[in-house]
Amino acid sequence: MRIDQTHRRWLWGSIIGLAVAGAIYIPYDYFTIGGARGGTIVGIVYGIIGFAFMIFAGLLSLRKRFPVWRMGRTSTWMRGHLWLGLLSYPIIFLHSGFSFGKGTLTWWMMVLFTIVIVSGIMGAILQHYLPKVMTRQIPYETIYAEIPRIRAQLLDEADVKVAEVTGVTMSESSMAAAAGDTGGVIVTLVQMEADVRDELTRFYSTEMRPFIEKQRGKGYSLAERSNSVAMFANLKTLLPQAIHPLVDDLESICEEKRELDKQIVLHRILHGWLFVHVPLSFALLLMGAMHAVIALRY
Amino acid sequence: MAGRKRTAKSLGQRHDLHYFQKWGRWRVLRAALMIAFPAIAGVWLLGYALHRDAAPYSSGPLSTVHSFTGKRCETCHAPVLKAGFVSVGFRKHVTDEACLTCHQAPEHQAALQTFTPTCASCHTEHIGSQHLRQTAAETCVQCHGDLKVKSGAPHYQSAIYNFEKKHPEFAPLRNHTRDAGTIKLNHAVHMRAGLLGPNSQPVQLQCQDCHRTPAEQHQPWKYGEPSVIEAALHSENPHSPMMPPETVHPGTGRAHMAAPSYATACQSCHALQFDRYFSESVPHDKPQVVHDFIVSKLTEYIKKHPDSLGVAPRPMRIMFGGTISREPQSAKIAHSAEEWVKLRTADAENLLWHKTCQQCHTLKYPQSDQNGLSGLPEVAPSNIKPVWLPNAIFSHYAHLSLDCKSCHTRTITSMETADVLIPSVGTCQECHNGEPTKIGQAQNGCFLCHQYHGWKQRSGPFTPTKSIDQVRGAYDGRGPSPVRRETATSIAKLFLH
Repeated sequence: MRIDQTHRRWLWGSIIGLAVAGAIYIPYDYFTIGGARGGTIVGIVYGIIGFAFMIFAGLLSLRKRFPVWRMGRTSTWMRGHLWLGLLSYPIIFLHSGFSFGKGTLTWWMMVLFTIVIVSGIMGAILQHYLPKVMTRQIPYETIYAEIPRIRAQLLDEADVKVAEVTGVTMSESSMAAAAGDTGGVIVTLVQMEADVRDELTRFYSTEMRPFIEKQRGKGYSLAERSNSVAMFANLKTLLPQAIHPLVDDLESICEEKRELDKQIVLHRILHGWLFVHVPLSFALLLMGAMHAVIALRY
Repeated sequence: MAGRKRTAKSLGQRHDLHYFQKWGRWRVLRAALMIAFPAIAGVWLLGYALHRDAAPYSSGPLSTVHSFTGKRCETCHAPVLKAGFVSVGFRKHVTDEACLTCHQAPEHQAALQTFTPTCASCHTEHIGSQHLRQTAAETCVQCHGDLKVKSGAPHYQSAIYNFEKKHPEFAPLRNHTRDAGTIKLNHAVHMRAGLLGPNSQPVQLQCQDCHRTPAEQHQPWKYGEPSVIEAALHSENPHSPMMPPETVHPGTGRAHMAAPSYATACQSCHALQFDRYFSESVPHDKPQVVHDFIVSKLTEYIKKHPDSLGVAPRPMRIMFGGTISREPQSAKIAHSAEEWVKLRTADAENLLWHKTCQQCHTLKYPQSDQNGLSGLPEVAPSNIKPVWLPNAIFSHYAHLSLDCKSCHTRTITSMETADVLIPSVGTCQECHNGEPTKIGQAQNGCFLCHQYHGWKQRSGPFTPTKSIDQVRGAYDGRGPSPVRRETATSIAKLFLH
């Protein structure tokens, strides 16, 4: 989610909320015997508010599970998640009297909370900048979960195109797909010298096909755009003019594969922090609930 | 061989429209982690719960004195409400009753205090190894910052915020109290350089030549006669009280100064010689003992020297600067040994009562009888006050490294016994001005000098109620013998309790 003008009210609300909480804290800490701590009335109030914000932030997951629920727009929930979740961190510090947790449970909670907040801030920054980068660098961005399927389609498409000129089938599935497209007949349109055909077949089978086939093309020559341009230009010099459109198509397929590879990398950066943020948040909420019950009891 | 055509429609058609129903590797992994992390936390807490160990929930480490309770939170965190043997209610806050099970805590100013704070409100637990006696100054200031009493006006200053702010001067100095001691002592003279000491040699007296703590009484004295000191230390003379036994603790018996005694501090310079025929002094004791000693000595002497009957008496006393003689009080010549003893005794006592003893002591003389003879004088009690602030906690041992005069600044100029020479509060504030963690500051919490609990009002000896097994948690006190808790029992109690 981009942090734009629509966040202004949330930003100011959070700043004002924090300022009010801080203003209350100063006299509270000064006049409280033994200093501010979680067990005082004001400390408990801070704790309740902070934990309520944490629960609200955690409810975003639930909200996303049920998108049809009429409980406010998901974007509003997302803004609330972002700002109230962030605000909960200083509020919890006010609750604890700026202690990082003297008990085992509270110490671990503060550790998890810090990781959750730091990962959340990192995520917010990434979510703000990376989508723009992806739009610019990956024109054919697709659904992440569909990348293997798209990659398979690209492979089939390349197999068919190569088979059209060489008569060499690389896989049955691609031929079957191609046969389906042409009404059951695969036609070789171009006649060429055997050594030229062999060169094309060698290039495709050793360089291009493995690159397309692999989920990540890292380590292959075609993974680098500059290498790819040079290799395809070289290939064109060896092949007759009539086949150059085919070579252009193959180069286009490689370009799309590179975009898919880049999308995988960027997607993992963009969403990888969630593997830390979300599970730890749930653990934190569970521990927070236990802490609240036990602390109020004892 | 058509070129690649990629329209929005063709691109869209590449996708499986039900892709979101599939569980990809990442989705599975994320879901697994979302379950795993809370599960790990839950199992961790459950593991402690099964062992009836509430340690993770502790709000902080216990103080060292309570660390023996270990994982037995219920030693202090007893149910607030009980109905018979069943615990009722959710809360298990520490109550005063729980503290008083093991501790004595006489109430503070019971007749005057407007409210009694709970034990836990002053003695904060779960903050580590700090001694629980070290209560925060705020706990005292909550009342003494604006002191109110149940009836009448407060006896103490009504607005004290901390040791530095509005703490009154110590009472003896604030009220210009005069020392009621009767021993005439001029500190200024005694601290003067070049003072004539034993054998007319110049000396420079140090404070510890006269003032020592009870524990240091047995160490060698610079101006005392060892044999006399030993005898004095084992007597019941009020000037040299019985010493407490030396213990391992280095500060025992070293908090306050013992009252200086003649045997340890004075006798080398202030000899009690009573007659030129005798080199020894009279004992530093009651007048009757002194009188008996003189009569005994003179009787013994005249038996050995009967020719001394015709010699006119001439009492004298040797001072450190030379010999000071007094003319004989009586020019009578004795005609018998008894008369000689009587006359010489009268002269010697005249010297002692009116000169030697009176130099330091206040003596009260009885009325002369019809023959002009008077009885033995009465020596006023010394009234040496060993502790001027009896309700405060202070230890000279804690201030061992300090030169006495740097605190007792008026000592070197004091010329009268009536001068109260304790340091002023300002002297203490020079060091005790803040947090000990800051350079140049010593702690200044109220607890350093003051006691909250009225320990003098303790009604009787404390009656303990717990065995070692109970406080250590080996026995819960409910069954006939120590019970080893089983896991199944623990689980059941976990849910029932």
